[in-house]
Amino acid sequence: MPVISVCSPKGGVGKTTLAANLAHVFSASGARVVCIDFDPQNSLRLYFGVQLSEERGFINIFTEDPKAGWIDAVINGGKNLFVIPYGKSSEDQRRALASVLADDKGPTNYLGEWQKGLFCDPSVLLIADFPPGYSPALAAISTVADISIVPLMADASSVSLFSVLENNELIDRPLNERLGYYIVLNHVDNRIRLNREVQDFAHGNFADRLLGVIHSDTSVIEAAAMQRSISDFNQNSSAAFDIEVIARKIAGLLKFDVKSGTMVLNPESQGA
Amino acid sequence: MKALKFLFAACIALPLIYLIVVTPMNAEDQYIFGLCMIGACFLLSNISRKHFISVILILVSVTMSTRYMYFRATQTLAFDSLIEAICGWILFFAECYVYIILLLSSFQISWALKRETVPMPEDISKWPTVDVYVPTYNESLEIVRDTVLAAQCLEYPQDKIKVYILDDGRRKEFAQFATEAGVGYITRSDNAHAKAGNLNHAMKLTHGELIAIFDCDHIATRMFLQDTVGAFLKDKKLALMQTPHHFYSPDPIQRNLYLGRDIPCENELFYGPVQKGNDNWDAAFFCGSCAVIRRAALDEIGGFATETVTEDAHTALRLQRRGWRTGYLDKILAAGLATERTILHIIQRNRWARGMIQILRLDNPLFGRGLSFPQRLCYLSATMYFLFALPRVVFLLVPCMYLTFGISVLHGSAALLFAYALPHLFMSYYTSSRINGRHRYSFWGEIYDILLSFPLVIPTLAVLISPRHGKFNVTDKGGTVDKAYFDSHAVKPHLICAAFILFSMIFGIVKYFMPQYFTVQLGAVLLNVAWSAFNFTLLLAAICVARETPNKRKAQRLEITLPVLIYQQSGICSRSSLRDLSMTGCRLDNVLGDQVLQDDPVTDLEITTDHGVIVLKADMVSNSAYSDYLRFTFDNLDIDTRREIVRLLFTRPDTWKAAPHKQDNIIVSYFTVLACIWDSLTRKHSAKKKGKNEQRPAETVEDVIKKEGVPA
Repeated sequence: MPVISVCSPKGGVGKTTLAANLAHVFSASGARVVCIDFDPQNSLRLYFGVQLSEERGFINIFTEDPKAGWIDAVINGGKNLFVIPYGKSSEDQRRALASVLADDKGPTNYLGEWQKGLFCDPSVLLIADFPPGYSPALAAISTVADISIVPLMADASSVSLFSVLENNELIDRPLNERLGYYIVLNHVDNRIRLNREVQDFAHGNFADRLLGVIHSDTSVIEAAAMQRSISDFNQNSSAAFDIEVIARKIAGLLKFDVKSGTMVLNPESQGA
Repeated sequence: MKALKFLFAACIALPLIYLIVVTPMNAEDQYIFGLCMIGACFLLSNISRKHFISVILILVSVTMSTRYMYFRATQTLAFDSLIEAICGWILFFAECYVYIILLLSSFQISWALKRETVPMPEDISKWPTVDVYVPTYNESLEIVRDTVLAAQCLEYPQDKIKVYILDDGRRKEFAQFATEAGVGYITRSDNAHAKAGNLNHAMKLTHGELIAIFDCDHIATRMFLQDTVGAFLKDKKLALMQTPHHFYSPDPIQRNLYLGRDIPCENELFYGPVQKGNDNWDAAFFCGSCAVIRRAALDEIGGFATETVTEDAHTALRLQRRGWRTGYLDKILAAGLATERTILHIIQRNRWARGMIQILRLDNPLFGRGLSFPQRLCYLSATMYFLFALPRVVFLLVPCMYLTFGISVLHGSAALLFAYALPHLFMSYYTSSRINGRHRYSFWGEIYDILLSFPLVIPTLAVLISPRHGKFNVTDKGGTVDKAYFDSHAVKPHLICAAFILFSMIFGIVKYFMPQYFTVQLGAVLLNVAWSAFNFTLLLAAICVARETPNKRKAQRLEITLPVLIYQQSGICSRSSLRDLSMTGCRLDNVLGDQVLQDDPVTDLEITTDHGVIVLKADMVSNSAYSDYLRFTFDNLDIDTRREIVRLLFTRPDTWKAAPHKQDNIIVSYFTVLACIWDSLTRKHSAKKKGKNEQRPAETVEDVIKKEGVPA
């Protein structure tokens, strides 16, 4: 059960969109994918056809019945695709969750307990979306995550964030204990000179941590607004192409590290 | 050992050759002998394509030609009247000229040197400094601009290369462009000695150890210097490295007569077997552009030669007289614009012819100090070649003189003459077809010469008599021919001559069928009619070159498949595949379909290249919205974007790599000439329409992953 966390020190960089679209790409290529939303904004579900009025999520189930499993919070989001929404929450609920997650012994227990259901299936890929910056959930997941995907904008402020990641300043320890973090430059617009310069900087200094770029393309927003997949909206969308490239690279990374046989992400590409 | 072998071979061959040359025969014996020799060569040639066999063929062919010339000199120069004597001697001299050229060029092409690139040393500090000169006089900035931008793309340590525009036109916009592009701008107060003077002036102001020269339309590929400079480091006495002049636009002959056929163009013979042969004898010469020269060598001879209008060849000759070596690298590393129209082609060759004859007169390579014997022969061949105009006209007119006026310029029976001429002509064609067959097809050399012959007769004679008069004229380039027309002015003498030949052929045929009214030798009539028919074909082909076909496209369009992003006004960004690109526009797969919205126009394109991305504002050609391909035009590109497009279009090392032409076949070639004439006269273009491009996208997800790799 490989776990991919999508997080970023900065808000509005397209974490949720990336997480949702990665899930779509993986599921389309044959993997079973569960997408978990750890962001109180509770917006990930909207990428999976969940009605706006359907506001329940795992936080509601968790606070109502701590004995319930994750499985009770799963909503089917399409073929091979499952989503666990955060749920509409109160301040108290969020605090309660945070304290459980922050408990030294808690996190492993909490997640470990819940892993038994869906999580233990080695053919299931887990993608977790987080709120911007530090969150207790992000710290907690670091013990089980295999890879962390960090979208950033290709602007000047991102340059300082590269070092935040490099120095593990986000959760005061590495984002995961396996493959580490990989940066994705999002909303890249090469018509803007600064965008190109930031890319050059990233290529020059963080080449081994740069997974790819995603071009700025309103197809993504349009598709989300219509609750359709990007390529359904525009089959030549440059962003959709870029996300697919990134997904394949992640698959490659995971396959390399996760011993063969424990996961089948994309049976077609196994031979390659 | 080698010399001994050579001596031995010579001891056997020379008496044999002597015997073959001087033994007289009657017509029948000569026929049999000639046919036997032809048959033997035919067999020999088909045994193998080895160079050794080619040399034997050259030797046999030259021997048979010598036999013919010996026969002509000893048996055919008896004339009945003064007018026949004059015409007869003129023809004989014309044939002597052709014979000398045949000897010289046989020598030139007998051993081609296949020079390889000398790799640059790993230690960059050893690389010499290079000044890149782009001389210009009156060419438009539009042409010069891309040459300069390409020169900036040359891959060479930036602190060791400087690019200069040498503007003899003293134009403000050139100075401004040089500043914007970041290159040097050199101009002077007068235009003394034209291009050579311009170069010499610049040499005083710059300090590079090597000087690379590009005519203002010759766009270099980015490995130009790394391919040519290494040789200078290896050989300290090397003064010059010349590379081919390649044209990416069709020359008038290609455009108006080849009409899309795959036939080697005019200069391929020179920039193939001839220069490589010259190089073997250390006699490759400078052609004015696409070359690198060592400054120290130029300093020794006082700069570029200014006495003649072909400063390039003359400079090389001078360098060689001082013991400097030259080289020719047969690798297309730059490309330029061919002359656009027939008349301009003629004007350009007029200058070359005058210049080379000036050298022949003022600094004769056969005499003077410093050259080796083979070098003398190679330079003599190059300079004497341009005397072809008069002999060529003589050959066109001689058979007509006989058919129309009954002037017999050859003494002897037609049968005997034919028996001697046949092996001479056939074997020289056959040998040249074997050796040069991938660079020049049979009969085309004659067509090129005939096109130039009439206009060159008077200028070449004038300069032969008075070599110090001659003005440098600049060849206009980069124009377009908007609509088809016949440039009768350019080929007026050709037309008159063609009419005369046609008349005399008809007259000859009348004579043949009504011999009772005329006093003629029927065999001679037949021979002369056949000769005239052959002449007429070639002359007609030359005339067809003046039937200008339109060439509206100003910019070179290259088929190239690259990933491209299309930005629409709404912010939608789609991926497509670039299919072709020029400096003024491009064509891509139409991926937008009905999404080409009238209210969501395309604003920008982003082309992904190995060297980064090129982003440009582009206007869509509106009627392409509903076709398979979207077409765009760009204008007002900023200088950096333009440089990137130049880099992409013109500077890839394999940009001009092309498959070699098919080996020549004499008979096929003759029919090709006929077909070209027919198509030109009927205005049919035989170029096959290219099928729709393969629809494979420029780049798939797999391609990207392969290219970028997965970070470790």
